[in-house]
Amino acid sequence: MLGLLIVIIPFLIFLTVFVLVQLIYGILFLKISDKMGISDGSRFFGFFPFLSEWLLGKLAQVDEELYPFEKKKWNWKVICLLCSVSGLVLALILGVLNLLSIIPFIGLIFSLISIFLGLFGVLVSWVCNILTCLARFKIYRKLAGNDAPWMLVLSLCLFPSIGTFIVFLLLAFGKKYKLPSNHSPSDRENAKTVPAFEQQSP
Amino acid sequence: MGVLVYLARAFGLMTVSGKLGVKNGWLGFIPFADCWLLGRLAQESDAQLKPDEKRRPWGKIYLWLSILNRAAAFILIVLFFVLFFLFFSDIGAGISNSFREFINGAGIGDVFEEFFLPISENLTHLTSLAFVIFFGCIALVFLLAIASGVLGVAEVFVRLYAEYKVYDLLAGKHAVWMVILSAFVSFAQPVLLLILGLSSAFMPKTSEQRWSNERFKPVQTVSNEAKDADTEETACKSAEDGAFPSDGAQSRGEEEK
Repeated sequence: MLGLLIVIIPFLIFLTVFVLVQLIYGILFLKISDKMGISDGSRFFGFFPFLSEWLLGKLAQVDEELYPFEKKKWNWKVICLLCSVSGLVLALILGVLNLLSIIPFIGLIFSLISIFLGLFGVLVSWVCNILTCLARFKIYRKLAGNDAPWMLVLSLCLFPSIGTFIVFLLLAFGKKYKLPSNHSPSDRENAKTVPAFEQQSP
Repeated sequence: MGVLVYLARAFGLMTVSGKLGVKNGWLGFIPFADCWLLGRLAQESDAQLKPDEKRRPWGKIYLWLSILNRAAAFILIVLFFVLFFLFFSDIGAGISNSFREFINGAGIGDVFEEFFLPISENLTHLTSLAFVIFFGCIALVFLLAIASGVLGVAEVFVRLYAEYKVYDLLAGKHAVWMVILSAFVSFAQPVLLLILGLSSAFMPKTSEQRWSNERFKPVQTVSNEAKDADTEETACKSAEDGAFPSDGAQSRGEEEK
């Protein structure tokens, strides 16, 4: 009985914290989606694991500006979803391979594969983190304009999620962070230097 | 590997300093001074990209943060040794006894003994003053650990922000993925600095050069056309034709609605 409690109580604590965090992220995603003009049912995806990453990709796609290495627009929804799922999939495969590695003789091959897969997993997690950060930056750039760089840095230096949480709070509840009416953030910055154009614009 | 990374970072900082016209690029080879140099490069980036805005002394901020962070870490290590010493040896008890005698001589020992001896009697190795030192050290360790954590985060923030500013000045739009790469891959920063410093493709751009990009050209063209035609109608027609990318996108959005 005591052993069962020792297993169950930490699991319940973990589950409660996980649900609470997801709930808070869901509310933040809802507010940000409203600000970014997403009015369909997908704005509630923030309340669910994995789907929240899909929503992140969808929000990132609102920004039309391309990164220098993008030849054309990327499907950030799929990229973010794959990034969030990849860790779980790799962990499952590694678990199975580790189980298989106890088989005599053949198990050695499986353990070798699991070592290489582990190294590959590190590389994949790097790439996924970088891509997710780029997707987040697209949201920051669209909503916060010139404040986007320090927001990105904040979400990077308080890795993995405290910085992002703070930035999402700012974006969701900060009144000055909203979708620009007819300019992309860099255009807003540029517009300051061309008063002549501003005066002549139709 | 460590020496290679150190050399790459130092050479990178030196060459980038040369490009941006910042003096004393050799400071990149000296620990702590390299922090000041990176901050100074960020200041130079601010001066060139945002000449109208208030300049922040990034060099001094980064230097002081790194010094304070290292100092906190050093004191933390020393305190750990003190704790280890007090906890695992009888010498701690001997030292505390001599201190207690000194306090008794001063006439305030009774007060201390009244408070601390009943507690310390239950401890095998720790006497009253050792007890105070021991728990004082623990409290200090906690405080310093928190301070070190906050300083560490602040230092990383300033480092990444300074890097972003340097990348922004030299590489423009590439700055975003460069700073993300620097955050995740430890040896990326020296390599990127070296590439930025050595490659002639990355040169500091003035604000005018940065704003004369492809996206902005149509806007200039439209304004000229509008000026030539000297009518509002021409300008409106150009805008509908897609000369204003964002306005065009907005009107497309309205049509879809």
